[in-house]
Amino acid sequence: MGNNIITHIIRSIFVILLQVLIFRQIQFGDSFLRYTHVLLYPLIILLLPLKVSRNALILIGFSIGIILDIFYNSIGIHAATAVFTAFLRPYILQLIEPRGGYNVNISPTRFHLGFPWFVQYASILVLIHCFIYFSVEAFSFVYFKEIVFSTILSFIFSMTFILLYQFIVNPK
Amino acid sequence: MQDILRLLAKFSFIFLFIFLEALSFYLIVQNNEKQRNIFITSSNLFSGRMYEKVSKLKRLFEMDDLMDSLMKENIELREALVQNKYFYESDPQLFYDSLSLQHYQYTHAKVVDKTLNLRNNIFTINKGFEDGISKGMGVIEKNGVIGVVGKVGRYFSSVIPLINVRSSISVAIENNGALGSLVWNGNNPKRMLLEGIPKHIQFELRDKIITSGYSLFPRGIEVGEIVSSKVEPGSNFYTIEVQLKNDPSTVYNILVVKNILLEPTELLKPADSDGE
Repeated sequence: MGNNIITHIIRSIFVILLQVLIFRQIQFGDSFLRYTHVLLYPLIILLLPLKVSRNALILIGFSIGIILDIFYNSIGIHAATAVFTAFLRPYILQLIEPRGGYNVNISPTRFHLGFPWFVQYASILVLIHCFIYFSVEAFSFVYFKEIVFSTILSFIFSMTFILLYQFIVNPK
Repeated sequence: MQDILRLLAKFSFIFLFIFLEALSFYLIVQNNEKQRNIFITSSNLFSGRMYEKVSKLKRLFEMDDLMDSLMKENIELREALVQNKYFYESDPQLFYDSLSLQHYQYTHAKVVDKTLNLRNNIFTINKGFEDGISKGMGVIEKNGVIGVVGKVGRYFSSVIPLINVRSSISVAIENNGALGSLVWNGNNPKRMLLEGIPKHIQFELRDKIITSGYSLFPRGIEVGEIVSSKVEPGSNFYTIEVQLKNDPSTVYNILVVKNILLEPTELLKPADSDGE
């Protein structure tokens, strides 16, 4: 268990560094992709153990969000989004619970629950995450079309990298 | 009590969630220029809408004052027009400043009562001799002629409008300057008759009819246009139908025209001439 916590902390740091140092720098120039953000860090929330209580989940989400906001220079936006995603995670898990139920000692990963399940799980949460992120960022539904557009593009890119991460690192 | 506490503990994550979201949004609004602006303007949106409604209502009440001030301004501008000056010299451009006299002055008034369905219609306006109105002044509105002041009271006056069979106004055909008088036959309130144009005058349909400038009104106020003409057998004059440009039945704001130079010109006429 102790090992497990360290793994999660190391993964969190690693993912945040990836996000801040690499994905943040990606710019798509003036093309229609210019509002696209690759958001890898929802992965940290996605992969937290099933045992983690809702309170802890939300607090972790907030901390991750604030750390990212410091780097993104957008205090509160990532925090609001991550808190929301963390808040929703248990409900989504309930929604797509496999027939046998969960083994509460594991993390919801591709390794334990299979690739199709993980794609389903991740895509729901990442899609919501992207939508909330762009909504909060725009801060007004006046830009609804732009929000939906950016959400879809960012969702595609983010999911690609989140799934790639699953294959490359294959976390347990 | 314990149950309530347990319930609260069970759903503590919801409070935590709401608290952290609120905190995040607080931070967003505090730290991000763009979102703060949106927040401020959005929160003003509702109150702003309401203020807008209220101010619209207020403007409605202030409309009358606004109208008055605009009319005042219009009067000033109108009086400054060349056609409302009298020039000693024939070239107005040359001697505009020093050698012009004010020829026409205007007073703003409102129609407070009017009859429309009679043959002898009378309008009542809210200015009387206290405001410098006197019998025989012309009455115009922004896009046409209304009539002539009849009886004058202290604060109110009656106006004999065009749509009165007794009214007769000196007008001219714009293209050739032929003079005639505009009368009404008591039928269509938008149609007048132009009388006194001799048979030899050439004009066309849709020619403009303007005030002649020889009596009460400054020259050049557009009255209407010719819609039909005929010569009665045995007559030497045309009977011309004129479509009015304005609609006297809807008029509210009017200007009373004072011809300052009327008295000097009246003095030149023989004493027994007919005033009408």
